[in-house]
Amino acid sequence: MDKLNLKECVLIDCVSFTAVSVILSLLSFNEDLMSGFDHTMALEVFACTTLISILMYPISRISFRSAVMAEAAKLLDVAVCVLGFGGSFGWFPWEGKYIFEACLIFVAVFIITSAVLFWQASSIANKINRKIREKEHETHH
Amino acid sequence: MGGVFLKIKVERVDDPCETEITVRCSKSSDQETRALLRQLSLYAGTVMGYRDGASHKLARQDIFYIETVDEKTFFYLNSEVYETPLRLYEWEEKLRDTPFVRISKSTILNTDKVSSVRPLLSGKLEAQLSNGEKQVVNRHYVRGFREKFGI
Repeated sequence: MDKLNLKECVLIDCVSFTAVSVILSLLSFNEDLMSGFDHTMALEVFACTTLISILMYPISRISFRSAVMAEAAKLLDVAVCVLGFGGSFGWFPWEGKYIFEACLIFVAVFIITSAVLFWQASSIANKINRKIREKEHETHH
Repeated sequence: MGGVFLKIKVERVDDPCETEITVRCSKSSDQETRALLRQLSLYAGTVMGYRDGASHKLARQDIFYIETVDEKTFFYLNSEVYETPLRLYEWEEKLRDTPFVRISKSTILNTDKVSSVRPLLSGKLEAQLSNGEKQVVNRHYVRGFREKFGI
């Protein structure tokens, strides 16, 4: 896992807070799904995303055996903070169904963020491979 | 070469002499001419590598990557490894206008040896080299890496 610097931790905090706030705001249109997303909860969510980013800093300095384990460690960081804050601030009843819904949300945010980074890398890789093929074509002709 | 017209003059002499190349171009040269100059500088360059107590003259274009291991710096060729007394950041400076680029804290890669690239998780890239080896380009260095390919 690449070591994160403080600037990147702040960026992760901002992006994840924005993503979570948008998701919770959309869910709160349906009272059955979500109620009471107000300024207090927004600050609690910000405290949670900030703790996630703070923990990400030392985690990024651990040498994992594989990229999958590194990603799992990041997800565990998120899980501990969300479930910890969720239980403490009473975001959701501490029951299986609600814990599962909370996990779905942060896993969705995690997947979206990872997918964006992967898509970006994929786009760059395709362009580079095209350039390499063009160069090989020129060399052989 | 991609639409650029080049005049090539070759002067063969009877007396043995060192091969010399003079490139005549305008001050504001286009991308293809700059790429040509980069390739020539690579071929013109030789470096000293050390192995088993002996020094060896190595052609820069034969180096696949330069890596720091246990505070020592090594040139990795197709199947040979030579040590260099210079530090990685010194090579990064010396090789600035060549196909060599920093891809991690401990590695400088010769992009001319890259045969293909694939994406990895967390925004990294994996470069497959022409000798079958693989090198990971860390996220922080992806920009510099892709710029070497003119992207």
